[in-house]
Amino acid sequence: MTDHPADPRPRVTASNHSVAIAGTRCGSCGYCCLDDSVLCMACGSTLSPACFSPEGTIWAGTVQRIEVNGRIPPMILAYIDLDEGPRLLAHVTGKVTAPQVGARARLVGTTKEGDPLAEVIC
Amino acid sequence: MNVYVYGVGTTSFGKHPDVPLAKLAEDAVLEALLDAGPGAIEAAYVGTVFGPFGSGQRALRRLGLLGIPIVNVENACASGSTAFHEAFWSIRTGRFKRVLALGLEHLTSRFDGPIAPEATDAEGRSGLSLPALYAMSAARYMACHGLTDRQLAAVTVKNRQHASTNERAQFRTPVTLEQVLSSPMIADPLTLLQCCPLSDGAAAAVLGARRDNPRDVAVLSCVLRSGHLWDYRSKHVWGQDLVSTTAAQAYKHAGITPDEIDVLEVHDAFTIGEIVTLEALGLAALGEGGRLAESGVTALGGTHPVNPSGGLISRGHPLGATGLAQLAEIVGQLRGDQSTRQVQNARIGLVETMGGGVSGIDGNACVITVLSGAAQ
Repeated sequence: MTDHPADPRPRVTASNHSVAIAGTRCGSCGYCCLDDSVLCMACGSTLSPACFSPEGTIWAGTVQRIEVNGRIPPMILAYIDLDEGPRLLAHVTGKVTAPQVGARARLVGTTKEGDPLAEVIC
Repeated sequence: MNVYVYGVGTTSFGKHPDVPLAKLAEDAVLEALLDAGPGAIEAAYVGTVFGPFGSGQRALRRLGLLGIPIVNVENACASGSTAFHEAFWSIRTGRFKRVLALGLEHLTSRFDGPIAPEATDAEGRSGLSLPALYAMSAARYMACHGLTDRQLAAVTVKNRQHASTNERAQFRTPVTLEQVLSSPMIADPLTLLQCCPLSDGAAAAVLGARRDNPRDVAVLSCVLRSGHLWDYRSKHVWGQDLVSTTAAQAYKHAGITPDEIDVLEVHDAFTIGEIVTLEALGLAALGEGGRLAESGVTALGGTHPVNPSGGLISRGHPLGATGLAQLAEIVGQLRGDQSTRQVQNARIGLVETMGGGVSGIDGNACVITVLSGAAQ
């Protein structure tokens, strides 16, 4: 038995200096998500695989300064609304300060622990 | 069938590492049974988050409350409130005539620091703690609505002041704005004193049909909802829509408006939680909840006192017990029993509890209960 048989985090791919994130898009209502769901969580229709581009806008950010689950603080975290749809939680590189609401950000890959990793771009 | 709270009971709240969970539960249940008066309990609904399997049976065994339906429920921080909700509906629909609702938690035996995020969950696996989730709501409010650090800290100052006369509260020493703001940063902008503590405790209520006892408190409505998706389409911070829609239904069932509420206990696990919740409950317009504690509106003596017990931040937050601890405070207020923290002429009270932690949804559960006592 394993504690965590499947990694539930969004699937970020990085190759040839290109970063993308895998998910699904609903053929009926257009809902986008990063889960590998069977049915659309918004309308129940069937989904198609989708690949989203890495840029988006910071919905909100923080610096987590406590250790949880063995993660060493500080951790810079942000919800990012990708331009093509989904909102995801990402770790953010750079100076230890909360990413500003409304700032532009870009996914750059994953942390060494496998979390989506982004940078603020302006 | 109309539903009444016959009796309530609680332990003191705090760190009780050497007191078994069953003993905490027994103390709360015995107090509630004595408060309710004689009568057979026909069923028990028991809420806990991290308790062992069969928590209700383990808690009630030595009291001999066996051979009845015992239902264990989990709904994150709203587990105790969910137990109460199920107890309420069991009376309301005529299934039983007298039932027990119990909430219990012994966090010090499970954690020595913050509650670990759920690693089977996408955000939990990435290390997102609950303080950080709430911190991002606070950050959003600061950027979009001009919420200030001092307005956040004012919630703690108020609730600590309220708890100072609650002998069962975990933290009874008043604090200043400066102390709150200078305490260690947990998740920007939330400091340590803006976060609820790790707590142990239990709380219970006995509910039944009308029996014309003047100390019984009427339950005007009790509504439970779970959140919809919370994603890129959501315009509000996490949990706000869930509280708002639950409140609308609770007000409709109770036949009241927010202005009629005399006293509230709401889910202030973190300071921003109280601010967002009070907006969702209709006590302030969107983005203006930060002014409530700062201006004294929600303090004892204000027009809408909130968290007279000290709230989760000061009374303590033993997850599964919290909803029933909140309920016990409001029942005491509506009976006029709360001594130096009594809200004068309190007639209508509200309890709101929010449970969260699952990625991508607007809260695991929100329970809102509206209660009415005889005017004092």
